[in-house]
Amino acid sequence: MNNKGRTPGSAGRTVRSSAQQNGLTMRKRDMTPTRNTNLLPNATFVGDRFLGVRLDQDELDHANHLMTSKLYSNKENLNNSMSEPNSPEKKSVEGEALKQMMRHKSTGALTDADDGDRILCYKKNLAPPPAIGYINQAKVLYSTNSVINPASSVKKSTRHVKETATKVLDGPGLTKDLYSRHLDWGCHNWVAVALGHELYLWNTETCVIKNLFEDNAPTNEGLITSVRWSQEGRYISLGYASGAVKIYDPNRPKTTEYVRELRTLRVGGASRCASIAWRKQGVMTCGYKSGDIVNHDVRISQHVVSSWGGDNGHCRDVTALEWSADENMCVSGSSDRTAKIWDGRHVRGSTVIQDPEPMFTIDEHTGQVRTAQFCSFRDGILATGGGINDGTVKLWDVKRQFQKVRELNVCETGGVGGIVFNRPYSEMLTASDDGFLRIYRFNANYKLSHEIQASNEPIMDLVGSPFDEVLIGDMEETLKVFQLFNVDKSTNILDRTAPKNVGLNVR
Amino acid sequence: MTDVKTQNAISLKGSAQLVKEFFHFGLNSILYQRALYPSDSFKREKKYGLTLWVAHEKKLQAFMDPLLQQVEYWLAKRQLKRLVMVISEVKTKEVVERWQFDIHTENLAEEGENAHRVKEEKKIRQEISDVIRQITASVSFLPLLEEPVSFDVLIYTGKDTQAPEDWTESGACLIQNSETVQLRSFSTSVHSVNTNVQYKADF
Repeated sequence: MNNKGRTPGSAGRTVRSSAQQNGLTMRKRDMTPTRNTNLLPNATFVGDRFLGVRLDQDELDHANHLMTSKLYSNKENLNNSMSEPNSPEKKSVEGEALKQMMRHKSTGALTDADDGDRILCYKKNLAPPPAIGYINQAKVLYSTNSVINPASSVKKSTRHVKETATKVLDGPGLTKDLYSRHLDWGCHNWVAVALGHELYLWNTETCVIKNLFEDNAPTNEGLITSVRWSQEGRYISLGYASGAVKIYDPNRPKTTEYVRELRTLRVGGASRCASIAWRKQGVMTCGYKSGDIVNHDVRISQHVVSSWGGDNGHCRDVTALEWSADENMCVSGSSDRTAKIWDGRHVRGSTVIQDPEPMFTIDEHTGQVRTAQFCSFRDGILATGGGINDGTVKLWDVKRQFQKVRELNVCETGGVGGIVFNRPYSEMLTASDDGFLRIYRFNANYKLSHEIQASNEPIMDLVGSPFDEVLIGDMEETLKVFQLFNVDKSTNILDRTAPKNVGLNVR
Repeated sequence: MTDVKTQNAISLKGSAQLVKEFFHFGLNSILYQRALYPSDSFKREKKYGLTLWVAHEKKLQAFMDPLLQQVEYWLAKRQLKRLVMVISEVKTKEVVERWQFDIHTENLAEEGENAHRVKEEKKIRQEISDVIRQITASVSFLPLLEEPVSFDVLIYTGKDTQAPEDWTESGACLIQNSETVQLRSFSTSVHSVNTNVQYKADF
């Protein structure tokens, strides 16, 4: 159909309308309705139908060949996507050729190659990896982050301390008195524990527990207020609330009542002996509630050899007494908030020494001085611990005019119940009323290194064993043994002496 | 006169061998200098008047030898246009360095199969030595490879080139905002090799 669906009438109207728009009025007379549309000069007059471009014969033949050839029968020919997963089929020559023919240049925009170039990669991502754990040497040398650290820069850590008690014992009847001394650990590993009127002896090695009095304890002197072994450990002295001090020999067999008691020492006007310290050659220093300190020579009948008190002494009860290792001086702590250091030469004279002047008086504590201890590894250092409302430990240098070396705030509420020095580690252990044991390192500028919660109640007593254990007694009527200063035996042979065998045979 | 002429004659196959040898020592030097593998897995070899480090790890040798054989084949067929060594991070697959060797082949077709070019072998060795010496010295300005890295080798070739199975299609692995340092080039009078290194700028 060559007229292409155009009627003669509509053709005439279209021509007229277009002529008016274009301003071609002169051609109006020439326009006559005709079937021959090829004479129109403008292509827009063709009409309202789209005529597609006709394919030539060669392309049609090529399409027919592709559809009917044997290549069409292969499945993989239809699947030309490079990213779609294919099943592992055997590659055919026709399929390979077709893939190469129809490959699309998908990476053209991302490459710097020419149009005719091709980029091939040899075994992509399959290069052999380096050895496991290999780190670039330059990174080890020049890296600025802290991923890799040489061994020399490893921060030195503090030693591990076992924070649980190794032994826990009940102490029913343990007197709840912060200013008494209920425990003492002898050099033979016998621990003396005062429970009210009774005294128990406990061997920490064999775990044998014996009652010294066996239900025949003396009750006329009141409660036991202090317990102390003698220096060599053969005798034990008990201070009572009445002011009497009794000396017992646990070695003696019990045949009659009070036969183990060796001696009872009484001082006129004294009451409540709360602190005892032994010295060599049988001299025992006792502190009384009146503030007097009396040195007894237990070997002679006139046992009072000196008395430190009066205006030069304490005015309230003496709560702490300790001799230094060389026995040149004695420190006494008192409830009158002072601690005094006494000269060892004032113990014995030709006559009874009365009220000598002390070497120094420490009056910087804001509470009672509850404990005092000489340092065992640094000569000349004295530590005094405050009582209630004064939870500090102050360190003094007795060789340099008793100047204060350091003040440590141990406990915010309450006081310091005990101080123990450890020689192998150069550390100080404190027990305080908040139930904590704290270790201070003297070699690291008195830094607090460990805090162990030993109890939920105030710790009344803290005594150290001859080796690496400490014993505490708290207001829960519990005795606990902690191993805080474990020492490797192969490296500290000199510090591990065997327990002294003094022939103590408690019967 | 004939002996001297024979020594200085370079054929297409001979030039392909020379360039392949350069790639062997060049790629191994890059692996050693950029510390992609431990230094104790390399051994010393004397070549071009230099002491060069060559990997003697079996897995790495089994990886490199077929690669170099194929490169030599394509060089002899005049189909190799560019060889690129791509160093990328293992975790992120990010390209951090790109060593590019552009190869230009002289046309010897009109001179026949056994056509030769004349160039002194000593001069060729000296030029190759200069290029490898510069590869060694490039450690001073290239950034430190902090993360574990791996490498790939790309080949730019014509579209009608037949490739073995180990070779797959790949992109160009270009580096965004890269710095380019042009190194020296050498020529065997049949093949000319231009070297440049592109690395990722830190700032």
